[in-house]
Amino acid sequence: MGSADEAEAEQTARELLNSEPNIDAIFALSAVATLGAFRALRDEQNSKVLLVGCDQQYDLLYYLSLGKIDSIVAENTYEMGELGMKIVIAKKRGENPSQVIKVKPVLITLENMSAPEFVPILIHDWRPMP
Amino acid sequence: MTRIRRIRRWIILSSAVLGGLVMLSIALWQALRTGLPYHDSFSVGRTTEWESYDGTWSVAGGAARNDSDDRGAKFMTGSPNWRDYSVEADVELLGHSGDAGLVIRATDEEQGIDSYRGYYAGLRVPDGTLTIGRANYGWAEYQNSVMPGGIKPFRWYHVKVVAYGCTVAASAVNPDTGESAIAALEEDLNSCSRTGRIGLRSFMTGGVWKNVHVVPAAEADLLQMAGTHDISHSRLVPLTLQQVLDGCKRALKSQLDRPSVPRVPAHTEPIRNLLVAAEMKTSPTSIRGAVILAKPALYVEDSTGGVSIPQANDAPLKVGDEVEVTGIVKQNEFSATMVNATVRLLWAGTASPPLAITVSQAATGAFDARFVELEAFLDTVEETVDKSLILSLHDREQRFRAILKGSSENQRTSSLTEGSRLRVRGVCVASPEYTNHLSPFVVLLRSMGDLQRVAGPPWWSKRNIIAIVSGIVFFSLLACMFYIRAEQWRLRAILQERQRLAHELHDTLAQSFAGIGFQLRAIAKRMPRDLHALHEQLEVASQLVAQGHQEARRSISTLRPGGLDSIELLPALAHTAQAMVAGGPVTVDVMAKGSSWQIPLKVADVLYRVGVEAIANAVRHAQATRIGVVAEYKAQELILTVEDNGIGFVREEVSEGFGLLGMTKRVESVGGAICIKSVPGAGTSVQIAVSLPRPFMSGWPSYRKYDRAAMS
Repeated sequence: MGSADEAEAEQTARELLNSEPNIDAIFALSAVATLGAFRALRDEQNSKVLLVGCDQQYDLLYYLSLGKIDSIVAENTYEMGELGMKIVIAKKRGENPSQVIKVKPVLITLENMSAPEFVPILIHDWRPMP
Repeated sequence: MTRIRRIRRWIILSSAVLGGLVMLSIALWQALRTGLPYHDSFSVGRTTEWESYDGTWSVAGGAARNDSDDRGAKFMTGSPNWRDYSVEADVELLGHSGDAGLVIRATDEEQGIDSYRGYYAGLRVPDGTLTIGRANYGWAEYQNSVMPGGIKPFRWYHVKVVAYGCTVAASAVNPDTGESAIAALEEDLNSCSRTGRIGLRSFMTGGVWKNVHVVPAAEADLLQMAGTHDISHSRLVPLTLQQVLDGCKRALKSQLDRPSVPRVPAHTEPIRNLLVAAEMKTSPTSIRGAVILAKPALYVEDSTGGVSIPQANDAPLKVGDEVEVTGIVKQNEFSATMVNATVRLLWAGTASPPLAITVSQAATGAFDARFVELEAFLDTVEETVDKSLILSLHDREQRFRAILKGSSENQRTSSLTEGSRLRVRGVCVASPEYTNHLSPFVVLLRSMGDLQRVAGPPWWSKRNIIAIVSGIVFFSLLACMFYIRAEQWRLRAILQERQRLAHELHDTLAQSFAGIGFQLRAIAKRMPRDLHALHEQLEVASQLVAQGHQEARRSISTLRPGGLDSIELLPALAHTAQAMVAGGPVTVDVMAKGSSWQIPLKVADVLYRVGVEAIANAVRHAQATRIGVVAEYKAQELILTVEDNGIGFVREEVSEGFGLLGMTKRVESVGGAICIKSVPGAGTSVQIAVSLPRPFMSGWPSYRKYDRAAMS
């Protein structure tokens, strides 16, 4: 599920939980959708369905640290921006840059969220790595 | 023009230019300096000096207000040259999330969350702090000072920010309790922003600002505010993960516990379904969505469609708020309306971006009650009696109107010039209540910020073309004037050179001739009388010398126009003729016919020279006793006649000795015609006709006036 509206995401998640009681996990494709699904699971008091979310939003991290969200797919947004600018510059120089560039996301769980290589991504610390 | 007059004119011209430059620099200096102290004019509803970046900015009750939960809505004013100053204002937050405060020393502002360079100090509700940091197309937070008693929405706080050198300090005071908080930062001398504008800014909440006051600040002001306070020097050090989680814990404590989305009603419909369901249902239906317009009517949108709620209960709603609406659905042509509706605020949210569509798409009705963005050309702007602003726009053949309803603070901004291309954001409405069947749809605007100028009107407007044509005409006239003036200077230089030559001839050649003649006569006197052959030769030589002397004198008199340094035709001719016939039996009559007017210098020169030649011929060859010179001024031409009562000549018999060919050439060079009539024994008449347009401007620079009284 990937709605951009929290209420809508919540409703979708709730309908899903009601119609498919045997699902194992919900994968939400945006921070808003994750939050909606989280609210639905919480209100249904459903603790057996795992929630895998997207985006390193602070409140999602908090729920992750509490163990209420299973994991979060986090992206290095700084790298995305930097690569995007490089494409623009390459175009300006008349080069023909690649149209699709894949940036490797990371799966953040309760266990690895304090790992030094992931913390900068989670707290948006874009200083150069020491 | 004499030299003195020319110098005087130069002095006047250069002092005017110098004066203009001085005035310009004073104005520039004033522009850099002025504006401080500054006080807002929100109490009289004036916001012309403010510029909005995101948000729905309006003025009501003497305060500026942003009724949206935009992420980073800004309202900017002031000069980018303001350096050391303080800004203060009363700030009220309109939501439980986010923050609101003041921007100082801002430059390069654009739409976007942290899209500016400068400093920001704001009150944050969730963690109850006064926060200070620097935005540089990114956000670096320096310090969060906890406000005792927390920050509560719908309550006024007094916020003051001082920037001096590379230190920025902020204080917030709760006027009811006297509680206060101070936050401050200091930056490297190399990297700090030293000048910039001020702004009101809110992040994920609405806000109200009033009594915005800016004054120049000194170091003492900074010390007074943050003298003993611990100033943050750390740059760009983000919070640690633990701090983030702790912050979230504080912020979400209440939210975690709140039964945020009530379970009843259990089911809500997607808004698109209302159109289908309306026919069958009379029982209340519920929907959820985000507020896209709160005034003049409530419009709510989800990802499937939009709905209007005309008689909503008076909940204080902001654009972006997530709401749940329960009511009876009524079907319109393109969208649904919910009547007898109850609106419940779920939580504050972020305004969703508009759907970018074309005017033709909007005209189909498919986007009725949706939040849209479209581009069109502005035709007219009118303000109605209730101070609403109505814009008529078009794109290709499609016409529509954009309406900004009834707050008295609407200002017609300078960007609204007719013919410009605007980007219009607002709610697309096809209901006849607004369209009056005049256009297929109207766009209801939320604030002036929803109008953005994409391009100005095309340059080929009627006014511009008239201006350009008049400019070209003016400069051509100017160029003409300068050309004529230059020609005049050139002719004058020629005349002066001729006069110099005449002086030279007089002083050298003529004197020498006189000397040689004198010597010849002396030789003749002292020579024995019996040398007849030698005497005869001496006599011939004396005659030749006398003839040469005569020729030289004649040349001098033609080179020097009557001893005058200006060309006034008839007086000059009369003067020269009198000199030629002086001591002889010939009489010269000079007269003018018609009212005289100024003639170009070049023409006057030619007429003078040809006239003198004709008079000289009459004197030397015609044995005349009377010479008449007549200048006849007609409407479009000037005729100069020189006639005598001499012996006349037969045209074929005379060669170029009379200079007839030269005369003809000269007259032709100014576009004139010459007619020479001569009957042997009955005199000669030389008539020169030059056609001339009458001058249409008095004082035209190439003409000189001469009055008839000067002629004799």
